Amino acid sequence: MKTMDPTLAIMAGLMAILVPVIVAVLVRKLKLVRTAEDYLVAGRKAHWALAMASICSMYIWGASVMGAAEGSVNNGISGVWIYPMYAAGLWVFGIWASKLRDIFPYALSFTEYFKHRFDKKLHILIIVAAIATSFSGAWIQGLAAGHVFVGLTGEAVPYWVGVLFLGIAVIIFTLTAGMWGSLIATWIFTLISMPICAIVGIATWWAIGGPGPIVEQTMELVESGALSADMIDIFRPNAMLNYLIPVLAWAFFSLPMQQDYWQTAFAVKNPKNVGKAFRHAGNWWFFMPLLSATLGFAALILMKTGQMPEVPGSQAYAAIVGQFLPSGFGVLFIWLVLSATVGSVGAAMLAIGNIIGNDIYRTYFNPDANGDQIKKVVRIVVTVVTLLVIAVSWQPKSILMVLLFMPMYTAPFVCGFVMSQYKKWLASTPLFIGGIVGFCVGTYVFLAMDQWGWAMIIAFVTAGLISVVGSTIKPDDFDFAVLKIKKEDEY
Amino acid sequence: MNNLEIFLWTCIISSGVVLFGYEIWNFIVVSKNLASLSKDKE
Repeated sequence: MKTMDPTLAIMAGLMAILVPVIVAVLVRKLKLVRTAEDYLVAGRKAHWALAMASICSMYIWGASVMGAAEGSVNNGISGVWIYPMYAAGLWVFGIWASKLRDIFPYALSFTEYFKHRFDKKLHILIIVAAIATSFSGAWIQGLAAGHVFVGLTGEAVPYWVGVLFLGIAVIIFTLTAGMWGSLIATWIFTLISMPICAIVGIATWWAIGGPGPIVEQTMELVESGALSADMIDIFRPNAMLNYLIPVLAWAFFSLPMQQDYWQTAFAVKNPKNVGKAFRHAGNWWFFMPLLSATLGFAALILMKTGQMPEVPGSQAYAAIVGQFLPSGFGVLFIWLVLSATVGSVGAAMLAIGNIIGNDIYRTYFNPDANGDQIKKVVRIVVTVVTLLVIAVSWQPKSILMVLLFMPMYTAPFVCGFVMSQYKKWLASTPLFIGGIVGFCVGTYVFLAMDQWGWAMIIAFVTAGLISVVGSTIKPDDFDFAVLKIKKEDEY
Repeated sequence: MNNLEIFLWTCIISSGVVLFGYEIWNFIVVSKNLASLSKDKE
């Protein structure tokens, strides 16, 4: 693969940092951040289309292109549409987000819901799970930012440069502009990423002569027995069972425990448009991995016919783009990865700041804290946690296990969380016990039996059953009207 | 042209249309909204 000039790579990184600077200046000039509510949830004044682009940005990871292509290399043509089905997570989350906005209109964080709906022990347990979820997501993004420079320049630019670019960019817009900064920066990043993905995808297809020659060679490979016939089956059963089910499980079980997405839902001006923002974000994002995955299928055929060197599935996208497009396209790659990582990490940092400042500090340390004090605490937390992300990402290491393990501590709470918004009899203790038992059972299936996909589902079902049966035996009688009271003296 | 080729063409063309379509629409809608926010502040 052709390498990129290191100076050009550094310049491209600096250009990407300019976006947060412009956003910070813009938000300051428009005086959008005055109160803590402005800082944490954009004063609940954001247009749903702005939220939609921000949601897309958080959903765009390196895996949206690399992982999607890997799916087709491993599963054939069925991989083309299975990975994009992660979008189902956004489509379904839109329904839940609308519901929570409806019953708890003044929420600043989803963890705050547990404080009012349940009790202290469950509130603290959820806070721990929520912080761990946002932090591990940010950590893996930090590693991706480092790897992009190393990969494109053939190690001429050190790994830590990408991590440093990411950290500086995140601190600039989250610290000064809070949620408004996050929304506008992620909006710009999505507007950068989407056309880059489309241009790179279409240009690569054009360079290899379009689908015609690829399909022709596919048929020859199948006839000669070099390629299994089920690799051209769009609904390959094996792929559906081993790939689609975990994709859907991960999408359904991780989103509801991520404050990153909830704060965006709370920021939308009209509560009726929250679901719309998530649905359209899902539709928009769906086509990004879809296009990337078609290139994965092309790479599979080109590798089988010897027109491209054999590479692992995870490198297939970069390899096919690197072989058929000029090295200048590497600049687009840097922007794509930095756009994806800076936006997502910024949202995660703000989410952790919100949970620690609003939930922990205000609830357990200073109940009389005013808006300015909250903003100050959140800013300190954002700075410290961003520095922590830089520190843990400073050395390249594989934390795939951390990411795969994430649903073990999110899935057990999803059933109780969602049901409790509809049923007043759902009680705290069964959810608490169900959460811990579900986590233990899921962890056992994951670590001892090596069944990642099923571990999530078993954790979800076990915890859900305990929550429902336990609540039936000793039901709660929650009055939902409590959640609609706005505490005017708070901010 | 067989089914596989039609499927691939459909994926590529629909991706291009949707990715650029949403891009243009979203840019126009959000820019207008931010401009109106800016006017409100003045």
